[in-house]
Amino acid sequence: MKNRLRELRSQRGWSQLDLADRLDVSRQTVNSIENDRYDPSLPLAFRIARVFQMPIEELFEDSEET
Amino acid sequence: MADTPAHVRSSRQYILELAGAMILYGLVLIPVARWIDSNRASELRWIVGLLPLVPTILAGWAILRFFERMDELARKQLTEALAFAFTASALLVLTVGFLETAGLDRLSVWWIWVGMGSMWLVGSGITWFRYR
Repeated sequence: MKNRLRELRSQRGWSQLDLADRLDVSRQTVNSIENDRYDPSLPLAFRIARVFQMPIEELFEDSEET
Repeated sequence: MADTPAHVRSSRQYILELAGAMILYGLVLIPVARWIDSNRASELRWIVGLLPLVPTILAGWAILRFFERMDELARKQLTEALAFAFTASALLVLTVGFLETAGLDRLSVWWIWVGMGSMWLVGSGITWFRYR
């Protein structure tokens, strides 16, 4: 699943560590999500949406969608 | 590699708890072995002989507490690494078993522990690489 985490984080001038701290996850988790190697759980996806104050569907893109 | 203060605290707590349990294990093991050596006839040896289990239970408790504090990716990585270690260890045990049937000298069961630990390390490396 593609996501806009890296782009949105950079816009806000946050490091991966800053975002990890806000989400209460490890820096590696943020890195894995940004690299599309790990899809977050639904509760974490909602936390990410709250941190960026955006709806989930604007953060994640369903790669199976045609 | 730098991590959030909460995760650094959690890792430190785990290391302290596990190290405490291991130190206790070291302190208990030798006196227990000596006591059993000099009290071979005592019925109490069955209970005293199990005393080193107490620190190992504490170590297991520290590991479970750490597992509860992990974030979801770390938990997934650990679970995958353990699944790999379990499967690979089972294959190793079966391989050695078949080789023993063919005439290989019997190995101590402690080698299973060594095999499991090694396969856990390999599994951890694989999952780290997968989610890097």
